[in-house]
Amino acid sequence: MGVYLIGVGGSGAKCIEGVIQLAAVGLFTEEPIKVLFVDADETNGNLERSRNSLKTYQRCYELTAEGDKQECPWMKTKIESFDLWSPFAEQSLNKTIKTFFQYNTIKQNQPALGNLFDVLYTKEEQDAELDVGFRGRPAIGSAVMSQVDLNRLEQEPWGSFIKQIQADTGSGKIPKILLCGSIFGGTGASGLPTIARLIANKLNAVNVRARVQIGCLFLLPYFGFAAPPGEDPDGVYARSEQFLLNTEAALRYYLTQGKEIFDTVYLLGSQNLSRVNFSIGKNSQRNEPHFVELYGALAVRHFLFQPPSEPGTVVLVSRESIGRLTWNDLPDREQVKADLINAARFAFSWLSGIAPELEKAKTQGFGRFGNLAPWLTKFYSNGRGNLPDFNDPNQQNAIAIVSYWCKGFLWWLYYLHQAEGEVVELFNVKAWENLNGELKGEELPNLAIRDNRDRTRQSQDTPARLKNNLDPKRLKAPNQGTIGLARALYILCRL
Amino acid sequence: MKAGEIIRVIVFYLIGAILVFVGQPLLYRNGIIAVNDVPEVETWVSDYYTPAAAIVFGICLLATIIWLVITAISKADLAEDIEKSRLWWWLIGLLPVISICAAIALYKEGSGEAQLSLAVLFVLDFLWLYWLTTASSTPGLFMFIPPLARQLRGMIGAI
Repeated sequence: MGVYLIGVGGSGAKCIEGVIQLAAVGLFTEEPIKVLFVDADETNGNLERSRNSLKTYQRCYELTAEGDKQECPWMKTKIESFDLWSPFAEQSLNKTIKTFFQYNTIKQNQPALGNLFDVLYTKEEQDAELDVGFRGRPAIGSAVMSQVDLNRLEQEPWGSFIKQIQADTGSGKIPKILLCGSIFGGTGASGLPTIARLIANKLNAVNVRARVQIGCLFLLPYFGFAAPPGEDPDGVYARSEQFLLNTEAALRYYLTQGKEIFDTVYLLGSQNLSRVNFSIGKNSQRNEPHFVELYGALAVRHFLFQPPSEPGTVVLVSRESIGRLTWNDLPDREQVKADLINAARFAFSWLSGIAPELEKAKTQGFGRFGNLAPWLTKFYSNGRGNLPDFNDPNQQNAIAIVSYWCKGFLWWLYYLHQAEGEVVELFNVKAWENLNGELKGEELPNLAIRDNRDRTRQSQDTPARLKNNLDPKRLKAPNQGTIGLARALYILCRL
Repeated sequence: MKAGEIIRVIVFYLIGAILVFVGQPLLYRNGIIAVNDVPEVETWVSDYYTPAAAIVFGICLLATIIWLVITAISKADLAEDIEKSRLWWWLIGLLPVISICAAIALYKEGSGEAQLSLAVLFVLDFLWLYWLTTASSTPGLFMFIPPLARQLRGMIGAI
């Protein structure tokens, strides 16, 4: 089973970020996931963050690549990237819809067509620079995206994308392609159906469509914003008050047109719109993670593992109560809960108790510090033993990579709990609200809400006990150095 | 504490008890360590040596138990907290040292000549009973706090 994930626009990128986090905790299989970002706004903050998460993930994955994934599910899934495709990739200047359609030539040679263009797009829309994305206007986005014809699929990364799918089908696999993005904004709403149709057409053309499953994940409105005072009220930018209208129109389109393209459709949204900062695009369009994106990643998981076999099947997931999210509200909750708690405990333990000590060992000297941290001496040497040298730059680099991942993961979890008007009861995220400060290790037993342990077990759950039980001998190789330490801790952190 | 650590403490104390209450008296009884200022060595051993040795042995045992219990129940995990316990090891270690002084002072009227040998033997007992047991068997993250514990545990394969 080849797995292809295409994130269209900022929300699509955020969904991919969610998938990356869930892949890190072991909620996917060892089957590689191949991701492709599609965005006209190459500097979009959401996109940039998702790509950074992917880079961190890949660096961590490289460290653990040789480990037994059954024993330690951390970084179980290989994630490959086709990186970013932008419809404006080959256009460096004047990224306006007017230039894109060669309006001046059309107006001169085909005045009627030019007049139609004037009717469809206002002067402001025609002149709006689209390097910030499609400004919440699906009409602009779909026009640009529709210019991507099948031949463009021969260009990179589409050429490689299609070739890999063909190779998968040739080897008897059933590739799965999932496109995700918002249905209410600009890039996702316009790009997702267009690209899906192009892919479906191309797969038809190469006679493999029947052996490929295509799904889509549409994000319905779950955040909103208001333009700041002083912003031109007639300007070309996304307006959250139009989100529901956009959504309604888009859903009508999918009802009539999408059935032919998609084998499975996921729709996700939230009644409470979280407030985000207003941004027209580029780096400032950087919205914090939202729990809907956790659901998005879980929908991807559902598509890969258990898509409905009957056409027309409707699968529902909802919450017990509006405004509250608990472990009980998550699909496949036993597994999801166990793996998320495991990873959160690992990241917290690493950042609160392991990383600071490793830093001190570096400054104070391994030999002296080893007497105060016996766990350290089980994984490293001072360069004279069989164990990896603690001061080896590779080991120190690995420590930095693991710490960076831990911070990113806890940060992501933290913001899942900050959705406005929602009470999210998964973790006691106050324990790590200041990730740049000192984390208190004694919070370890209380990190997860409703972890179902009795008081005795909870009282025995201390950072000291964790460190004391760190033992490379209980682990298959690689069980030494930084990666051995991280793997040993990860296994111990399982409840 | 791990089972191995508990077993080591028990074994070292059993050997220590044999050394203190059987081996060392034999040194005096056989004249290997001469005590010439007492009428009868056997009586001196039973009336003076044994009570003094029992005090040292008992206090060493008490000090060892205090240290092991403190470290076994401690929830400290950071190096700076572990380092603070180093002072406690020395402070608790003072108890046997005081007991050695007290025992020698209390029973010095028995034999003036035996004072030096008793002091040396009791210091050796202290090293065996307190240092050796704590250095080889201190639990958890405190295992390397007693002096030379890392080297000792490395030698006996107890890391």
